[in-house]
Amino acid sequence: MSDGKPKLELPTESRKVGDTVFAGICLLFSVFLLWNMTDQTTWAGGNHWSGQPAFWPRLAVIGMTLFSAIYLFHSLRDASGAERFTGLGEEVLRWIFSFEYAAWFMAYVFVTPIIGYMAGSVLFAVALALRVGYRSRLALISAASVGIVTVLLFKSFLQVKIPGGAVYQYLPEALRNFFILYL
Amino acid sequence: MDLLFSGIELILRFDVMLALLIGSVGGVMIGSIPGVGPAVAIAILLPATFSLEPIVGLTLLLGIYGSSMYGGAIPAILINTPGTAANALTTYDGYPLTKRGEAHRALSLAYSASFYGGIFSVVCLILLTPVLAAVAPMFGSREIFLAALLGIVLVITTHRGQSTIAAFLVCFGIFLNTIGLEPIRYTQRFTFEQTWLASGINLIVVVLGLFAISQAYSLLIGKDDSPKPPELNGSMTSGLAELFRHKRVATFSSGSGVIMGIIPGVGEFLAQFFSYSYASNTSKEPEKFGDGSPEGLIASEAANNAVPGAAMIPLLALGIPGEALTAMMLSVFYVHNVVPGPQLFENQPDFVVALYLALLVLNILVLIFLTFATRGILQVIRIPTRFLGVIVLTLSFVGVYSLRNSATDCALAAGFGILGYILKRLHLPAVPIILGMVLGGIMETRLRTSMASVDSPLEFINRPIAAILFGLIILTLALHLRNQIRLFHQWTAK
Repeated sequence: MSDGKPKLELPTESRKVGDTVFAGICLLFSVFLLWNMTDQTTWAGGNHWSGQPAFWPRLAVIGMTLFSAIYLFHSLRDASGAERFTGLGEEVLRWIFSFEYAAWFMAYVFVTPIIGYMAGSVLFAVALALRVGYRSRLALISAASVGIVTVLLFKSFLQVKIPGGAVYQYLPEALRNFFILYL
Repeated sequence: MDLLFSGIELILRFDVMLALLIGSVGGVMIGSIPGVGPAVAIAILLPATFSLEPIVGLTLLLGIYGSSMYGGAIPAILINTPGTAANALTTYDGYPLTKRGEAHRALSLAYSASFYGGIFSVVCLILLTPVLAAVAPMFGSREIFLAALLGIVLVITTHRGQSTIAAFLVCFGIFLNTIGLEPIRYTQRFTFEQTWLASGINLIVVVLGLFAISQAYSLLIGKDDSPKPPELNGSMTSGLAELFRHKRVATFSSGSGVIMGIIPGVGEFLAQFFSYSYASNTSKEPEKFGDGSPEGLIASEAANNAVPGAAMIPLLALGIPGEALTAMMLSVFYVHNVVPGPQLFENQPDFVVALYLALLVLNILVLIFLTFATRGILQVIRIPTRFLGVIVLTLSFVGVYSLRNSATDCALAAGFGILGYILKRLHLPAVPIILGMVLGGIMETRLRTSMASVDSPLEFINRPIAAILFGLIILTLALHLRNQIRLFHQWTAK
């Protein structure tokens, strides 16, 4: 293959910005588990090691600690001081942005049992579309349609288990049953 | 023959055919959208399939799994962005053909090669059935433990350049699987006296978080983009004839896909890599590779599409998933009390035959669909990325919440979504976590059972298959260690 063409090669070790921070978090988490290992697992007397309730979790935690320590060592070794911090703030900020969308998701989770799956889905899809920058009528109608189609497909057609909203109790009886079962 | 007829009878049921059709067409559409992929779709649909019969639920998921790579070739060829990770090498020769105004030829070749790879793997699956049926009963607890351990070792060692973090993530997966009330002595493991941890962490919650929700975050946070594929002019059937001019490459690549698919933890990328390297090294026109070579395109697509059929072999015969998608399918088996493994071939052979036939039919359905509907699919590729994020997050809710109507599950999934997003940003794999959870559970049960029947560790490997598996584990570790020592020497020399 000549220059300028993509080169076929197996992936090699390449570190992204934030790798060291992630390795550090992994090691801290593993050490925390290791610290609590004896309290949180039971080594039952008289049992063969393979049947011990503590065997697999302890093995896993020891493995996590060992490999995260090696990973952190490799990460520190491969990046010089200046390289390690270039763009780090921006990268960590991106990680933090994901918490915002996790909060959006949880808001959807908490609102649905109150206002019902259909209203919750339409509200969530439209509000999230507005949040990420869509303002046109077409985009917002499309977002509402996503909510409606999702409910019709999963709850009305596939009958997945999603309970009716608390507000459904204020509906007339005939409508209430329909809403609880299908929307 | 009776078995074949009962398999046909099972698959010809209206609900099974409908599931197969929806799965196949849906899989192509999902595969064609860069940034969604089959893992997201299967993760979202998984809880919905629990209310279906096992054969219906599995054919739906199998349809998505088997057809997504056909769809993934479309954006790889037209806009230089693979629809699924398995189509990465398709961009090398597909996109240059598009730039030369031969997009329809590239697509047609990709479809034909995918079809060849898909059918080849199903034929291998059928031919291997008598062997599997004979060999599978030879797998006792210790052999299944060793096969699962081999899967773990391969998952770690095949993540070249990332084996340390892959090992950490596998251990993390094993750890997640152990959380909660342990089923033999009823002791708590890492519950920190929290009642919500006592029932453990559900695999599907982790899968949805790591694959679907993380992808939604990624799409929502990233730059908004609306890809504009070129217009398509020309026939979508010309590729079949051209494929047969390169049948050597197509057959080798399909064979490579089958072998890589059977080995747990290896998957599509290595299959493509070896096939592409072979095609490039043996071609009469190697200079064309990376610049619109039909052989390169065939190698890549035939190899990746041969993997799904082959990946069903360890899943059905031993109950061992080779990668994340088959791990998800395994949970459908378990939910319906259909335990894949040696007994499945003995007790429900018609079920196994029906799954093979489903794979065969889906390849035919997809080829017909793509021949006529490719131009329509281009509209799907145009969906703006942030809007896709809205869709994926809305759908993820139903996936998690419908499991147990639990806000805790949703919070955990949102948390695993953050972890998955960080892994994506750092280009680190999430699959080892899933395989650690699934294979860790298998290893724990199988080790406990098998150690009860042996007196010494050596007795553990005194049966032929156990000895072979043990030998393979040692060989894989030795090769990996040699590689690591070489890398260490290179580093110290610097």
